[in-house]
Amino acid sequence: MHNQDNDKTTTFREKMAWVMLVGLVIASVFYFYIVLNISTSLEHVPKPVFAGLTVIFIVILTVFAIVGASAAALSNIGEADVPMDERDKLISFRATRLSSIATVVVLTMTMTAYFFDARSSDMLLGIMAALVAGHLVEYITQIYLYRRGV
Amino acid sequence: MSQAALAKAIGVTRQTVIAIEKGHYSPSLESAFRISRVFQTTLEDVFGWDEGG
Repeated sequence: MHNQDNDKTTTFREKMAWVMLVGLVIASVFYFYIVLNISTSLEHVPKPVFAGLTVIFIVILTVFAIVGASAAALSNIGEADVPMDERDKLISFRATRLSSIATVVVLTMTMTAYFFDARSSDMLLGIMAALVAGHLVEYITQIYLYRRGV
Repeated sequence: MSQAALAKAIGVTRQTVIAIEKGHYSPSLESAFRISRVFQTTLEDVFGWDEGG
């Protein structure tokens, strides 16, 4: 078998996982840095601030998803609309399973903290952290499995 | 045969064929049979397995 194609070993899905990982890290650092700064100076983080930051968080992720998907599709022409094959499905399954565990762990920690007299804004922050942690684990697992093998 | 042609013949992506070649992915039994039929040979002629890992 010829190996003339070996220079392009990164799949469209792996590139998207990298893009979304970088986007999620940037959006999360921005979000949690501001929220934690406000929460240390004020008794409660105002709800409009939470809402505004969440909208910005979503916008950052959306921009990364659109620009990243376009760039990844251009570098892997013809692969963006190809359905998942058996390896993609296995990687997706394992990444989703680990992602669920991470989400549940952070959510349980948040609920436990709330039980021991945390503020309601901390609960909101914890839920956000659980969602972020779940997706971080999902993208990192995908990248790891694509690069190191299933 | 190119990796892309084999990938198309067995219904996976080219990167999956590369992963199989490198030993980073063990294909399903269905794909393994398809590969052996593409090369008109037996499974054991295409794939080897060492019990020690």
